[in-house]
Amino acid sequence: MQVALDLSPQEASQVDSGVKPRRSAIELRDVSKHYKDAGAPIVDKLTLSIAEGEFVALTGPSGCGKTTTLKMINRLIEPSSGQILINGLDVDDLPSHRLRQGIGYVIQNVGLFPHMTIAENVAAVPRLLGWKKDRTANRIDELLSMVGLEPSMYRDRYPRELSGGQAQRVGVARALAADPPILLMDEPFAAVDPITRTSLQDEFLRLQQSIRKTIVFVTHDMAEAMRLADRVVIFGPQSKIAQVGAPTEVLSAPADAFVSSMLGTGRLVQLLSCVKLRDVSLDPWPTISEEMGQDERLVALAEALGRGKDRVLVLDEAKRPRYWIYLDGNGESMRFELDCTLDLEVTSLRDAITQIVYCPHDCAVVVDGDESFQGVIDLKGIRRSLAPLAGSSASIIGVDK
Amino acid sequence: MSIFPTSVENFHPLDQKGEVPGLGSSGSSSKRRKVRKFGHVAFRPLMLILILAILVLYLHSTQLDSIDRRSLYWSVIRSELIQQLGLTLISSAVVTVLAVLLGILLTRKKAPVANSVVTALATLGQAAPPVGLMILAALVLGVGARTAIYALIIYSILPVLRNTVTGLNGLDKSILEAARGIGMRPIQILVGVELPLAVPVIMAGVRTAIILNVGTAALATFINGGGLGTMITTGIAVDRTPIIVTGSVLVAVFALALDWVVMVAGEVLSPS
Repeated sequence: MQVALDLSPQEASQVDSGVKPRRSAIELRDVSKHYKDAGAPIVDKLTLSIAEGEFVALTGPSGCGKTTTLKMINRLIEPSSGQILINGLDVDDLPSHRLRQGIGYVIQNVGLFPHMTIAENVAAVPRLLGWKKDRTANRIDELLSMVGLEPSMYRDRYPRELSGGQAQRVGVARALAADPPILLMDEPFAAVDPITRTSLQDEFLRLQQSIRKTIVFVTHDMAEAMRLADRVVIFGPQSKIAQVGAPTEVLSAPADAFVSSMLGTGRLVQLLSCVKLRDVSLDPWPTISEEMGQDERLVALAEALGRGKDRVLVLDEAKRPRYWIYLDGNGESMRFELDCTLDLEVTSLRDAITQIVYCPHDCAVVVDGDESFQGVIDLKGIRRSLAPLAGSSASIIGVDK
Repeated sequence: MSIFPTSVENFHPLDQKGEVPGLGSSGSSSKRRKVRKFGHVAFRPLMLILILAILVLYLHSTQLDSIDRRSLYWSVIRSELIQQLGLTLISSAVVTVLAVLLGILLTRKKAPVANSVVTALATLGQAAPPVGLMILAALVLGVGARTAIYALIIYSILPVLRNTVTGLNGLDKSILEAARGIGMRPIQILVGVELPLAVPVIMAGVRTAIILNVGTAALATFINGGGLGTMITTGIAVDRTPIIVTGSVLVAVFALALDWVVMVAGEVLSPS
């Protein structure tokens, strides 16, 4: 019954907690930025620790200091006070161009060099680092395939021949060229159309699964932050941090009215999208092996009826669900085809609800990656799972005062 | 003297292909554009050859006396052409180097005040009538080709300076941010990104300067600076129409030919 929402170690490495389960890749200590003419600081005493391989999204309204924070990490903007450490080293210890050569940087408008081919663009950092030609050439092809652009087709094209989505793929490839451990991304997917954006996000998540970079990602789009990041930092008014936490944490328990208002009315849906079936407890269901004969089936059905279930699930020898059996009017077992099965790892609660609503059996069969039976889930079960997530479901659904 | 521009604006060759790069231009129908470009490039020399042919026919059909001939010997014309070319190219080269360097300095971060002051001065040099400028320069520096070159420099620095500043300031800021963000040093950004991208706009300015100079160099004769203007002034002094016509046509043809060379060079040099 209990939702498996225990914070993983990385999510538990909260802003001020002294416990650091993983080496922190980026550390901001009391970092502030004032501009001479402006009264209030744009970033005010920000302390934040980002673990190695963690995907952190900085989000908040315009002018909240999220981009400034990002740019202070690679010193495109110099902080007025405070200290920034990368892998334990102060960023001021390196000449700024050296520092930046070791940090991938992706921006909203991509900023490809229009007078250079795609290959030359991707090779920009390796060239600065003085790589040998064949090493660079191999790396270019590797990266272009990695971001889904056929090298032989795109290598010698110019940026103006690319669509927005393709250009940003090249932008990502350029940032990854010298295999930097850290990637800074400033609204990278904001300038493309919604459909391209979604597919870029999906692909980027898949890419991140394999490259495991430490990523700091700035976006004003809350839904994007929730979708992509392991941890979300929400900047509030007066450059204060309103909340830091894993997406499910923030969605289920917004720290204050400001965070609630930023999350908007789609919060429940977002939360449902964030929680996968593996995060909730499933209900058992009577099953029977496919090899069993008619008599045993009837016995099993009778037992099931005794427990208030009108049907039994038939499994094959590998525990894969095959079909339902019912008791018909004449006391014989009757076969029904399986309608919907859900994947434990992939299906979110949101998708599960959609499936169940359209399912004639008001509950859905859940299987794991090997298609073996894990349990069933129905709308009641989902509600039950949400209750501890949200405190009370009322606070999610409505009335965020 | 009709080739003298009345103002830079009327004569600004920016319209040829002066779009600021990096703002994304569509790359469609490049084949048709190539054909049109070829016609555009080939038309000018054909026209100039035709004009020269007409000039030669005119001179052959005219009775020339010894005074005419003295001014129209090939050796005389050639030396005046070389002087004209020298005046133009030296002054334009100096202007290009000077104005591009100045333009680079003015577009670095901390120069908005200097920018307006220098631009105002350059505008002043441009606004002064070229004959006046030439003679004023001679009063201060003495007569001769060198003084003529100084005057030409003052006169033609504005278009290159202004186009350098426009070209560098007009670059897509995200390109520069990306360049900085990936760890290029300021000098690498300038040489590797900013200047190559600004070349078309800067070249348009250089082209304007060369056109201004090739025309104004005809006035160098007034301060004993040589050039094709000598033929025109001689023609007026001895009252011989063939000499005046030849001088005028040569000044015009020479200016148009040089303009064409610079245009083609710009096409070749600018990023594809």
